[in-house]
Amino acid sequence: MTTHETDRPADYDLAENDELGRNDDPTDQREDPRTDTAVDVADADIEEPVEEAPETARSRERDAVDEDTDEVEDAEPELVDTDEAVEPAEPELADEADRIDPVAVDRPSGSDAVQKLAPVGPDTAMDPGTGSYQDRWDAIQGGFIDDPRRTVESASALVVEILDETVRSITDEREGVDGRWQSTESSTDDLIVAMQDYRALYARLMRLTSN
Amino acid sequence: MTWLLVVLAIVVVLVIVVVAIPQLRSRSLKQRFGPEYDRLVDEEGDRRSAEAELRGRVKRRGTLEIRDLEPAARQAYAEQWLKVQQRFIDEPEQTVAEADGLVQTVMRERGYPVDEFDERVEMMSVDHPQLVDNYRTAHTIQLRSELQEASTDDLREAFQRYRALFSELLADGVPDAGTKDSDDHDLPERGAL
Repeated sequence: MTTHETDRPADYDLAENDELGRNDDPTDQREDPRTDTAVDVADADIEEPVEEAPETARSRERDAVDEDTDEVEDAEPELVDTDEAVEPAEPELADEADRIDPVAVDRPSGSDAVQKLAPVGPDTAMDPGTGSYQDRWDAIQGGFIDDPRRTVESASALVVEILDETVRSITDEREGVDGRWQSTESSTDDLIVAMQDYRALYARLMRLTSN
Repeated sequence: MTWLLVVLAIVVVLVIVVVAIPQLRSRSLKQRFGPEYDRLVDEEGDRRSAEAELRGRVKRRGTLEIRDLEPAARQAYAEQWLKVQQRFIDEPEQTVAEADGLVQTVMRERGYPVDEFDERVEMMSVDHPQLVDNYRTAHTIQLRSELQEASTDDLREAFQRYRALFSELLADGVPDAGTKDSDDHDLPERGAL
């Protein structure tokens, strides 16, 4: 490349060379450091998850995953002993939504813009602080373009994480209800409450297994 | 004796006019267009018509008024892009076509002519010569995909190449291509609004 030996501002050259490096071999981007910008853009479409996907078999599978995710989140308020958040870091979303603008606006050079578009990816999505499951799933899915294999690994890891989290939260809930009626002094009223709690738990399990 | 000096002076001037100036112009064109220059020389078969073509492009580009995007529009396009990108796993061909569409939308909004692919490429070669190859390759893959002849990996590559172009188009401060061949140092700094 002999294009820019002269005269242009240094950052201009860097940006372009960088870009060329990327694009000459688009498959070789695995080591791309997706750093802080990644988080910002991963959250760039917090507003609407991509739900309007077409009716292909694959998209239905994906929706199934999404639904499960939602259920875990929906069910959260029913938990009796809520000591852990199934849906992490809700407040953080607002912060990051605020941070989108500076990235898009204040750092307009070419390579930054590429990074801005590129970083939806598996790496940051695996940090539970990144956002809701939905945001993380979306970020993972967007990363397929750049690194299919790692994206699938991340998807697998996220599914495992949600599964573990779900089992744990349901188990906690069940143990909580168990503890409230098993003593011999339980009144009929206690048993009614326990029965209602089990019914809620039962309904939650039914929702999870209905797919 | 003076006649010798006169002849010498004439020879020097001739050398400058015939050899040095064209060479300087060639060099500055080559510097400006990079690989696009070499490609065109190959295609046209001779340097002279390739250079005429490149100068023609610069001239046409000079008649265009290229605008920056509003920050809000830039943000909206970036988000639109990410949504398309996320759908790649469901419909690779379709999303590559949409990526191409978004590139064109942004080009149009910024003031480029978009009706013909060749015209789009030529204007990109003036403002973003280092990305023209991306554009061509992506377009070729897309044409193959319309014939169902592109593999998923091809489509992925096309998408990435469109993205490189797209993000450059979203960025600020496109070089204000004048009608001169060189003068790149006069460009407003990138990012200056």
